[in-house]
Amino acid sequence: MNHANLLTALRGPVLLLVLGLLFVMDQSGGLQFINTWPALIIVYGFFRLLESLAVKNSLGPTGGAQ
Amino acid sequence: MNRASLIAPLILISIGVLFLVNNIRPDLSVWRIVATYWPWVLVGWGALRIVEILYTWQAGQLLPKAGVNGGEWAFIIFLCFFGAGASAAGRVTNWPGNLRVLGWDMMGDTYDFPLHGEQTADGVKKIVLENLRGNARLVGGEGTLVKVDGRSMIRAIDRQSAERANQQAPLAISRQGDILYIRTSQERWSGRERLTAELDIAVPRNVAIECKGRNGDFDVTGVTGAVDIDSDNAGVRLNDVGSARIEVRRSDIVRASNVKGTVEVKGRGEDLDLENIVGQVTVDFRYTGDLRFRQLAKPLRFRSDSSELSMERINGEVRMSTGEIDGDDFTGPAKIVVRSRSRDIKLNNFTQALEIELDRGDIELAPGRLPLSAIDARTRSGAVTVSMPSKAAFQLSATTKRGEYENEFGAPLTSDAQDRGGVIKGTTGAGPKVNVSTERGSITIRRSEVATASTALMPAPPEPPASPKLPKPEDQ
Repeated sequence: MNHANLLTALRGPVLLLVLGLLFVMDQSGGLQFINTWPALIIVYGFFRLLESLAVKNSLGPTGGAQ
Repeated sequence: MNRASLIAPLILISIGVLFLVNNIRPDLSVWRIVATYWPWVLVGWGALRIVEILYTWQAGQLLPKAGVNGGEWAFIIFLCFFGAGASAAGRVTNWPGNLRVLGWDMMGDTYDFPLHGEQTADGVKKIVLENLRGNARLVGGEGTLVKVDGRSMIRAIDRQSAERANQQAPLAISRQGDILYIRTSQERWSGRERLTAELDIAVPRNVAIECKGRNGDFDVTGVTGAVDIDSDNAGVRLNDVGSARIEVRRSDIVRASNVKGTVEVKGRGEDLDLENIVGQVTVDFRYTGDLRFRQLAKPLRFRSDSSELSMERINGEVRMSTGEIDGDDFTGPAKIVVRSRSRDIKLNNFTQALEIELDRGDIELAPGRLPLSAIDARTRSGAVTVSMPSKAAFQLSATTKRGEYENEFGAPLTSDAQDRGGVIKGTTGAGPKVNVSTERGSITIRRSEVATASTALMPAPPEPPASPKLPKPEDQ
């Protein structure tokens, strides 16, 4: 199983989910989206990080076999 | 992806259901629900896609390269803008026509609550009215009682929330020293409901009035004190008041008539109408409609973003629109300056010195009265027409740098070509200097007859003769 591919595929939906939650908070009168949008960058960066780690791991012990 | 996603069909189905429900049950305020809960669509979409992807992965099938593709992102961004706009529109509660966006205003209703209050105002010198939204009418009368009658109109989803808002915002009359405050307390309510008050207030005649508001008209009649109005968006009508100070950020009309003292107007708006003002008039007003000044006994000082005008007294009328300035029967020294805008200026029957500085526009002058005074009128681009009384003594010099020139006055004026234009000049006697010039445009000097020493009969425009009892003292 390739975790890197899974993470890449999940990245979009998770971002979408977070985006939705940020707007929900905005709607309910909590934190405003105009203040919370950087969370999206963080989530995106986090995913990229996990992906690169996953690629490294899959390359490492198995000698680069995909 | 081996299996088509469920998302697209689900979204289509929901859109269909929404429109259907909206048509069948218009009382359900579907759009309002959408405006409130639309972000959950994003959450649901994301969650569903995560489940789909995990399922695919579990089943060992080929994963999609991107969980959400480009086209879908475009749709999501559109949805965000649309949703944020719709909910912002629903949140703003104090713009007129609020909640009318997308038609979900149908849901709300306006509930009326009576407002009533009275208090004796013995020794009160000033009445301060604070009504954020709504119209107020103040009428001065005999007696010392302040009496408020009116209604509070509350736009709300149901009667219950309207009543809650009404309880929070009662009509309050309170006195501090010699000042009496009348407040509608609308600012105390912070909910979505929109409160508007319609007030009819009877006040003693000899008080000063101060009105503050955000949106609504003020109508003040019959008080001898100063009237001070400060509003963001108001129509203001004053009649028979001591003096007036009006400041508006946006207004459809400001009208003041029969004012015993000074009038000061500041702000922006459409129309301004001042009539029969005994004191000095100072106006700093950016206007988009018409201005009318009639019977001003003391000097007028007018300023807007592009023009300045000052006169010492107006017996007749001066009108200004965005394209023209028309004046009839006024006293100088008068000065009109218009920068960077185009105005046609037409002035009749004036006395004392006149100075005009114009960028673009025609100038038409007919002093009409004797004795004449100095005239200095310049335009950079536009035709200049001057009608001089035939018996008047003056020294004229009219120049166009580029354009036609016509001496209809005849002798003793003479005309000469000069460059691409010409000069008309001459002297009819020991009189004031009349200098007019244009850089581009024609120059015409006409002859007019003066019926009496003070009244002119204009030959060219078919206008009625000016008021016969001209040097009348202003009615006090």
